[in-house]
Amino acid sequence: MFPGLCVIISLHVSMLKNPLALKNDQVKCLALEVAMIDVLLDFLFPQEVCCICRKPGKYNTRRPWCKECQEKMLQMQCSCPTCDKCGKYLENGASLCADCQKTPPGFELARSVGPYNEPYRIAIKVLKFMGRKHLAYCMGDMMAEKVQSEPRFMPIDLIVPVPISSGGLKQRGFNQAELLARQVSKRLKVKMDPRIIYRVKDTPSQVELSREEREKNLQFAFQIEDNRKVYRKNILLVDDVYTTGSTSRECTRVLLEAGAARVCIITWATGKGY
Amino acid sequence: MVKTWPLAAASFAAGIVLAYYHIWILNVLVIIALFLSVLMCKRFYRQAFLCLLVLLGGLFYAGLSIRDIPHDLPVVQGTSRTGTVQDFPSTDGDKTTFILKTVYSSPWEKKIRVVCYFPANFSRGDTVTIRGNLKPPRRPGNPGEFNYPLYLSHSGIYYNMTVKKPSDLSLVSQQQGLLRLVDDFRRQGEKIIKQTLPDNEAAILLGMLLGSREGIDEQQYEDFQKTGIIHLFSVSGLHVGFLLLLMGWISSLLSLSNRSRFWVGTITLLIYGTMIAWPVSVMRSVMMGIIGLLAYYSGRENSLLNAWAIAGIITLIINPAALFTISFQLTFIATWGLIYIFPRLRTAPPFKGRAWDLIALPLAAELAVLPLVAYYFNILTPVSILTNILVAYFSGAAVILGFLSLLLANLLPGLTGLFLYPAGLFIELILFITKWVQILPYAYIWVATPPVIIIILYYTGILSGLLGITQNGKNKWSGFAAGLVLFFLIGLLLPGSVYNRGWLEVDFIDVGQGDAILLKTPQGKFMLIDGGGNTFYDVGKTTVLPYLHRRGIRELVLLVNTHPDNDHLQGVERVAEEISVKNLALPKSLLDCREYSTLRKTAVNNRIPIVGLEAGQTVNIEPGLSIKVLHPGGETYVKNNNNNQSVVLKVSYGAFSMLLTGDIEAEAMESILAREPFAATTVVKVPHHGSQGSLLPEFYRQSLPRYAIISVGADNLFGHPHPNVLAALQQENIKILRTDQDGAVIFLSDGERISVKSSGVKRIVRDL
Repeated sequence: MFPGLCVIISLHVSMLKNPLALKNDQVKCLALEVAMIDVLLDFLFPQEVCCICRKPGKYNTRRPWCKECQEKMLQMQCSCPTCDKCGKYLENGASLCADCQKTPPGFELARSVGPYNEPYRIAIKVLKFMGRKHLAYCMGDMMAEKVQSEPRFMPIDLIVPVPISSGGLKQRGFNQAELLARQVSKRLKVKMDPRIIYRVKDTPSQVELSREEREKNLQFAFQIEDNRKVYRKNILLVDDVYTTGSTSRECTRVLLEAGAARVCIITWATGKGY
Repeated sequence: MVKTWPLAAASFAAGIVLAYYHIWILNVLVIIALFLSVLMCKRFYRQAFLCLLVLLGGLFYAGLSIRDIPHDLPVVQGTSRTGTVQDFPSTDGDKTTFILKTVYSSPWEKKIRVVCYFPANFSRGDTVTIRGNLKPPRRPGNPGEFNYPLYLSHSGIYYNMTVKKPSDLSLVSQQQGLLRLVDDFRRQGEKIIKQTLPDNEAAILLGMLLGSREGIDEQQYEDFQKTGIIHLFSVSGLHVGFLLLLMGWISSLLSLSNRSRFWVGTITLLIYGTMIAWPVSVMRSVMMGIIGLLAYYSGRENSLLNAWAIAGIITLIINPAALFTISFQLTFIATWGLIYIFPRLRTAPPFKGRAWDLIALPLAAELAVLPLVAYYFNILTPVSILTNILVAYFSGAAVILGFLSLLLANLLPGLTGLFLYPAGLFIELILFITKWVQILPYAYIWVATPPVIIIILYYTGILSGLLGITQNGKNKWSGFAAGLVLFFLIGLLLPGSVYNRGWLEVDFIDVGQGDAILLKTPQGKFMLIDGGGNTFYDVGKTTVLPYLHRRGIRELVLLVNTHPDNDHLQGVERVAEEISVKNLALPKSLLDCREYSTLRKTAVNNRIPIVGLEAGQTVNIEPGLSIKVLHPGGETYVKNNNNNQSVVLKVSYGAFSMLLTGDIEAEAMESILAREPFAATTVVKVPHHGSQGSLLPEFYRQSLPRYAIISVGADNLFGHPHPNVLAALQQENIKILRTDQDGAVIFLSDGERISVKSSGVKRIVRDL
């Protein structure tokens, strides 16, 4: 038992040191450990209601919500047209949203799984504020599917999550974007490193700010840890919600400045545009 | 839908019950039924299969690990044992009691309860060598009495060891390591609290913080019980909740991460549990606390009911026999009430709001524990709802202040008073409330022990009432549920007089050395003749009153004391204080003696008329039953002690008759014979516990009893009963029944037949 424990601990240490240098079987080993812990937690805390609509039934880590909710999400995905560039849901038939027409963003394209409405919004709320971290598996899977269905995303060399503010980290104890990015990277079989972008200044919450305030708020908030890691790489940036796009634009800017070849963005949900 | 974990816990417990009572036929039936249900019902086959599997697991696990108490455990005199002290030695006066874990391989001697007849000073974890007598604890003598050997066996203890001299106890090595640190922390806290607060406040605060009963005033403890807040002395979810709150607050001050918060909380709970030596209630609440923390840390949804069930299963895996202990049942049932009944009770009625919540919380707990409290303590406390509402905030504040002062006592002892004096004030408030709330009418009611079957019916009623609540708030089965609960309550409140109508009943209660005889008339009135007595403990409180309470006796039509010796009088004094007595009868010749001063005072206070009894009187209670007084007749004797002035009664009902002789000696027996020749009797209580001085074969030749009762304590200092007396009785072919060997002896007669029952003798029914 003791040597096994040592192996697991050394694995975790090397993962914390440099996740990009992990070998394939090491990754598999870590994934197995996580899966085992999840089975144990499912056993200890059986999920008896759908985490979105709270309909009783049998649920688990891999299937946290009910069929009805799943179908509702799929329906909403294809019901309305999106901006060609940033993926915002548009009500008129234009191909680009007003923002992208005014100031074309630096990224190649941004897409999300669905609109920031009922089932999607609740899923994000449950993940972020109720701390149901296992939801990131299903959500990440759906994000990876979205990426695979869109050929313009390819090729991808590296997956990077948008970093969280230290206040949010303290409050929540985890970065939801990192959890999503981990699952996307697992699905796409592309390496993920959560420490490539880091925050240099702690920004207050963006929720109640206008577009201009947000942009100002975020100016010079991010930096790249090591330019060599992103040099000439095709990067997929992962975040939970795309509202005005200011966070994504700022991250894209620093990545491109550091020498990244191309930046694409995948998020769980997007707001509505004009 | 039934949740998985509660289902598993119930199945596991059911398995243990089946194994414990050796109901093999039932086992087979239950297993076949479950097996069939697995095969038959497609909808629930998963759950049925789980039940079956867990039940079998419980059955085999308990079958392998629970041992019955062997009937032939030998007494070992003057032997020595070495082992480690398992719990905190509790000192009561000059007696110290603790549990020793020995290195002995015999399963019966792995754990021994040790009683030292001197104050011994050492702590948990010490290794000691003791020398003394090893003896299995005495079985209960009275039906329904608390079974002490059984209770001990549930924690793996089968032997008591008595150590007489301090020289028989020697310390081998002292406790080491973490345990010592934890105990030092506790000792320092205890010391400071005892120094700062007055004795009774300190004892109550320590009881509330650490669950120790040491030093709590008996009267106050009883008040707590009668007002339904005795749970304050069992450390439980309240404490764990407060500790977690406190730790959460400290961690957020230190701005710790989630992971550190989890570990801080868990380790604090584990240390606290260790500090108070893991009683079941603490084990349960600490486990539920840790499960909650784990859910919070791992981002899972915590269901209290699941956590409750998991804690139950783990507790039962650690010790399956715990299922049969009072503390396990009470803590788990009360928690079930709070997490299952309370939310439903809260939303069920049309009126809602904060005020209703305040009432619903104690009501839910009370509904859950009511049958158990009635079963074990024979008390129903409607007032507890009011008391709990009044006391909740004070006790919570006292506990929080207590925790802070425990912490401060180890860091800055000088400042502890800052928290302790307010805590003392809150305790005074609680004491004030318990005192005044009791005065309300029907604050508490003594009730007869309910049969197990109606307890099961009650819980069925409660469960069906809660499960029947439909989505729109209506209840499908409300009538059925209310009916069952009402049936239970009526059964509980019936007085003891309704049972065995038309039969005269005489119970010779086992009070150790001494007499206590309960008489029930055919119409259901109760008389008590003597109440036992003991210099070591209050028999009236520990044995006689509980005996009366178990039978649901709330009124005595006549209370007799045959003569004022302590082994007859002490219990009478206690009973006169606690139970409504219509008449008190004493020997006329001794009415004004000094020994009766306390009893006279009680009689005046409770307005009980005192009657002097002398030969020639008859006591009329009801037609058909005759009670004649045969003694005292006003004679004076050479050996003129209290014994010879004892009241002697002759009770007859139809063909059944009985002589109750008190402690008269040969001289007085002669004068009774001289006064009137008497006819054959069925039962004679052998006078003076079978002492040599009360031997008069002529007495038995004339009264020709079929049964002779000797009410005597095992291994008493007087050598009662004397072998000559036994020989004389045997010579006359009289069946001897002894309370020290047969336990309580119970006679029932309808005037034509007689039935004899005792724990040592199986029930015999025969014609007179």
